[in-house]
Amino acid sequence: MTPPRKLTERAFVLALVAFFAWIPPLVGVFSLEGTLFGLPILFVYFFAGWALLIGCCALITRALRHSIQTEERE
Amino acid sequence: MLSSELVITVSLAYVGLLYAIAWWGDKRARDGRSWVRNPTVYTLSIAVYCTSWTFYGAVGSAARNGLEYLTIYLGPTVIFLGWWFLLRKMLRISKAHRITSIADFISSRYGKSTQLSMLVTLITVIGTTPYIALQLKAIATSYTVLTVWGGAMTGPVVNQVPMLADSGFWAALGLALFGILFGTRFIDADEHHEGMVAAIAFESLVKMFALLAVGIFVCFFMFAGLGDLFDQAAANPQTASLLQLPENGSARWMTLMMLSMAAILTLPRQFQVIIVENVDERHLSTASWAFPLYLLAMNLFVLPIALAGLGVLPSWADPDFFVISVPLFEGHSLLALIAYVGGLSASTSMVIVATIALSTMVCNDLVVPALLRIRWLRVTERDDLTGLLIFIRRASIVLVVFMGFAYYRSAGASDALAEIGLISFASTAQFIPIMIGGLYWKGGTKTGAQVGLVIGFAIWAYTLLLPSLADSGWMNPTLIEHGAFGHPWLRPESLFGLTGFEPLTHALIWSITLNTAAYVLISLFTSPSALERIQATLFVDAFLRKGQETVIWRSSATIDDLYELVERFLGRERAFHSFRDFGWTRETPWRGKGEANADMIAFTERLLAGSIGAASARVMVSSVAKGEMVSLDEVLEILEETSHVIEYSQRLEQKSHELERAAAELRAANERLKELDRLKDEFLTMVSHEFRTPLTSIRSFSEILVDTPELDPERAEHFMGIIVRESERLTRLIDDHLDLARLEAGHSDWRPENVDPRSVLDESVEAIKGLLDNKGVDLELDLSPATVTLHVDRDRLTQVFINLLSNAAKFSAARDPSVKVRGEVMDGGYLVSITDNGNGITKDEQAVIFNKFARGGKYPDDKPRPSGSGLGLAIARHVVEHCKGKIWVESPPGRGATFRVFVPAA
Repeated sequence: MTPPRKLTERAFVLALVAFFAWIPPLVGVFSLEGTLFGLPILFVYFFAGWALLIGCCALITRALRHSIQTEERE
Repeated sequence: MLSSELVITVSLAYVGLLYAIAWWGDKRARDGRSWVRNPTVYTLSIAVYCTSWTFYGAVGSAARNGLEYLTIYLGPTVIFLGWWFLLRKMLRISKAHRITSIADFISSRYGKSTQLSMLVTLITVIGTTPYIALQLKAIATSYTVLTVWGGAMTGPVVNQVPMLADSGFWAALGLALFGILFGTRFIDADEHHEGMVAAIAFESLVKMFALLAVGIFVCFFMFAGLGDLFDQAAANPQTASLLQLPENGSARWMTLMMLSMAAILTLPRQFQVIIVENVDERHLSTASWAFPLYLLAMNLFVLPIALAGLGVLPSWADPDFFVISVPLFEGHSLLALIAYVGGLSASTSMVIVATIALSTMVCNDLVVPALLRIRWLRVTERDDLTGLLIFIRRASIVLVVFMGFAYYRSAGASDALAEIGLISFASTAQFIPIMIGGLYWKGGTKTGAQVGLVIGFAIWAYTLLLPSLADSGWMNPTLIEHGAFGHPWLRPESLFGLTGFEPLTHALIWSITLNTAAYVLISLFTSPSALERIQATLFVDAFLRKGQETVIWRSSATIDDLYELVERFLGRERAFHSFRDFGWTRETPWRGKGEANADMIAFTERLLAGSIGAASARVMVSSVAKGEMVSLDEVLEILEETSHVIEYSQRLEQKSHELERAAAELRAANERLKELDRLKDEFLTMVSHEFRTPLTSIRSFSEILVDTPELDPERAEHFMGIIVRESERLTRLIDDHLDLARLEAGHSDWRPENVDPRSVLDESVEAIKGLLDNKGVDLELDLSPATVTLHVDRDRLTQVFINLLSNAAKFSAARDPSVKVRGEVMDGGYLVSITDNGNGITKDEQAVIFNKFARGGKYPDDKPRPSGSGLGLAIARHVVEHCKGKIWVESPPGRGATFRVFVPAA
């Protein structure tokens, strides 16, 4: 039932990255004037980052589930 | 503006649809063809997190504080991204222990404590009431906005309508009825409400589509896309500031992040949908990314709607209801109606889940334990308790909903939606220290948890709830302004002089800090009970354990006792099915008067825990199965763990002792080696010196003889005599030396025989008589008539005595030399004393005289050294010691020396 250590460590780092990306001081760094793709920089930072992290989470979760199921079958 | 008839009709139709979905979901589940049991529905049911606070309040918050509203959704995202570490563990534990609520969860961890479960329930009910009020307020206000907007409306909406005309009242009534119908249809053993989950999942879809519809309308019909909307907002100085973070907003941002991370774990409705309603752990892994995705979709258009509302609506319009008022202002009544239905679904889903979760808690963790404690009610003896349980739950649903309604009617109208929600979040955040501590730290104790929780809750009430009540005019605001007893240190919004933070951050800093500190410190200084230790191990090591625990009850319960107990709480049919299944799978009898085994008692407790909570289940089972509960596995495990530690430390101690001993031995061996090395050097020096003396004389006299052939024969003969004597001495020296070496190595031949010591002495004296006479020594022989028999080597012993006698003769006084020899029986052995009248031996010499080459004493007339080998006494000592005897010397100053030899009898 224990997936590879590396995989769980990735999952842990993912949550850490999300946490530190969304608290001060890092959020303050992106509080800038101006636009990116025609949208405010901070708005893009939050929503693009959010989508990116969700994508990473889906990949890691799939790998985690796969490793658990493989072990269960064995 | 829409007619109130239309809005009411739509509302009723929508609620009717919900009832139908819930009924259908329940029916499918009972038929065993549930479509609720899949990850999508599970994810959508978690989306009950998005209440009217999200649907309406997030836009309001965005209109006031910009992107700050995102914190409420980023926190849960972080928790879900890290699902593998926290949520999965909570889920695993809750499944194993049949946890039914957050109160049950916390009390189970701390030894199934009834007090703790009551405390958690009380805090939750108090903390959730404003939140329910918020939902009712949202329903009422949105209804008013929808029906009054337009010509009749020129200012903000104020609810001053009679109760029966208040749409909030009817909403409360409808929701209570829904809760009663779909939350308490029956007392289930695993507390799954499939119908409710189906309805909630549907509501989550409705509110998401409604919000997306409004968002798309705002962005692409009112404006030419998101870019255009943001450009216009940036051009307006009033809204441009919302596109960036406020200055000095870090503390509040951090507070909101922490609060929302705590909320997703501790809010009773979230615990209900994430943990209790979960049917498969794999669904959580899907929700880990799908739920954040849902949150993202819900939040994408929040800021654009807020900016659009600020841009086009009159300044008195309440930003909290932009979602409805913007479409209305643009003349799109149908879209406004859709938005209203979305808001209605957001509000109703929250109230439904919250009331069901709370009613379970109030019933299982507050009322049932209380009833069980009141002995004269004889609750434990009643036949059928299912009716009572269902009644308690229904009553609690009505109570909880109408407490919320009362709060909303009297106080809730004044605050912004988001602020009420945050006060509620802050109260349940008080569970975080004891929850996280309980999951990862075995040292947390019940007392620590209780005190921490009471302190945290008291500070929350003093610093957040009181000011909120004062704002509503429920109490005198002087307390808030000047502090209790007029002491500035006790001002609720700057407690202990802490200023510079806004009230929410201030309250959280104090409540969480002191809560955690009390929990940790008191846990460190109290000792947990056996049950607490067992539960702590089960919770913290949830993933280490495999299979179900076997709880051993030392009891005398019969199977029928247990069966009837379950029947009383779960009803005939469920009791029958559960016991029959248990009996069939375990192949044990499941009815009858036979003694119930430990497995069956444990099974009964788990079954009851699923419907009345762990604490009450324990009380009920122990009322039937008398005796202490011991979970054998756990006790063994704890014992094993402890004994491992003890054994390990003992081994460590032993090892260190061994090491110490080995080191000491090594040190001693090293000392001995150094000493031996020194002795060897000394010995070599001495041997060469001793051998050199006779060799020198032999050589010099031989040279004289060779060099002077004309030497007269008389002198030559004299010299030859010296050479012969010195050769003899050399030979003797070598013989003695070889003899000693053999003795030391233990190689010499011993021929022990029974001898009379007197005869040995006589023989020795006879042998040395020539020498004595030669020197004119006066010999006095004094042998006792009594004697003993010694078992020794006769020749060796003679050698010892001759050596001592010749020494005595050599060292006796020059004038009137005399030697006394005494022999006597003493202490089971024979003592021989040989005394001379010479100068004696000094103390220093006495110490070394028995060593090799040591020569003691002086010749009476200071002649040069005698011709001894210096080995005689060393040989004597070896011989005597080999006979297990002793040899020593006594020499009072100036009165000669006495050598004594004691040999024990055979």
